[in-house]
Amino acid sequence: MKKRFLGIRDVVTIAIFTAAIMIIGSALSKVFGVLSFLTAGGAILVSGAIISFLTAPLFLLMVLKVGKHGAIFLHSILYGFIFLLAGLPHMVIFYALVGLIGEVMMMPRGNGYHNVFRAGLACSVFLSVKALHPAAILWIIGNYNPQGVHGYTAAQITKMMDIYFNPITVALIFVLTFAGSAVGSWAGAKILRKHFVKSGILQINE
Amino acid sequence: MSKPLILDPRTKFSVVLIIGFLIFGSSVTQLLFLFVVMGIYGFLNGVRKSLPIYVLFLLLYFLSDYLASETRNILFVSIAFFSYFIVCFLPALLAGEVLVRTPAGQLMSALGRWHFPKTMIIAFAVSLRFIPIAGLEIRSIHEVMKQRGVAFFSRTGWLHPWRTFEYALVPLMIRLLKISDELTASAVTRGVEAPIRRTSVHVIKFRSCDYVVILLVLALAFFLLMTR
Repeated sequence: MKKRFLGIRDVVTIAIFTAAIMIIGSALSKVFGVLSFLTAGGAILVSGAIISFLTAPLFLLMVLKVGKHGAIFLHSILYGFIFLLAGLPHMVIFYALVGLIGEVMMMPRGNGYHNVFRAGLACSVFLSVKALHPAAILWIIGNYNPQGVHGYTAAQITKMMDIYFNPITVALIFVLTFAGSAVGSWAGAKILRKHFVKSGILQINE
Repeated sequence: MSKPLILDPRTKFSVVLIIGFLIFGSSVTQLLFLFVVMGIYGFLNGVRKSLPIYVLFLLLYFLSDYLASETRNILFVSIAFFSYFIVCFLPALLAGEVLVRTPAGQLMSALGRWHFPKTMIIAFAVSLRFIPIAGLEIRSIHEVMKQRGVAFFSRTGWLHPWRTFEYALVPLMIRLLKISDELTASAVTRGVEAPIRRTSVHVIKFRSCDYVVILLVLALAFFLLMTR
């Protein structure tokens, strides 16, 4: 009988996929970080969409392979813990909330964790909310230290914060990331059907 | 070169938490002070090769800040603004690097003493250990793609992006599943599923240097909070 709760195999699978997703995400973030210098922050708008597009297939495989409640939450909490190591303990709370949103997406009756459409939708919503983490970081720093940048007036900092953290920018990041991760999930589902379902590595419900 | 300090992982974890909260609301002078203290802490704990990179980030901030205040150019202002955020995290990143260097077994035993859920401890230890390996796996897949002429920035890569995406992703997915199977087998063999309390060859206890480090960090936190 299949266990209801996460077993050791599930935990290791989630941890390994989290590390791989994090590596891809952080490598691309560095590239977009450099590009954002050159585009005065413009690259930030599309970075979430591109990163989500590339990591959505891995996320989808992780969710479908584990196929149990708690997978998205554990993945998210792990992300939060890795941010804690980077000096952002507040992000554990943010990621716990994002993980809960992802789990809620898989809650409705039916075998959601094996349903490729449900998993793809949860993946898109989860990755879109997750993509708001730079805004969350800016919000935390902005609230704690509004005149932190040496040599600038509070008005200048407010202006910069208005550019990088306003409802339109955040909404745009959310929508673009949702589109990117939805396309990524669709592409991921295609790859999974072609290579993993056919060979029997993965079982999914259409 | 002197040997690194031997600290309890719980001390390292506490330092990350305290510094993580301290960096918020600190002025640039306070951040610099924190950076110097964490630089010494990192150096004593064996973080020596990456210290110059942290210093380089600091210099980038000062340079862009100077250029931004002199020229008022939006590009320099943006660079200064972003590099300020990086500088904000440098002390915490240094503290984090000390914790990341802790052997996985030692970290698991120490977190077990704090009654962390077993699932969380295993997942955290595995993902921390796997981060550098994941980088190597991705690089080795890219090397093979280059040899076969289907790398991301090759002619085929530009002409057939979907195929390149598939060629990169499928081996990575299969590798990740294979590694997770191997690691699970290894963990089960070591009795990770046993319902009894896990023992460890690592001696997990607070030594005098742990008390000194915690006292110094608390004194630093008190000093910085009082001077705000």
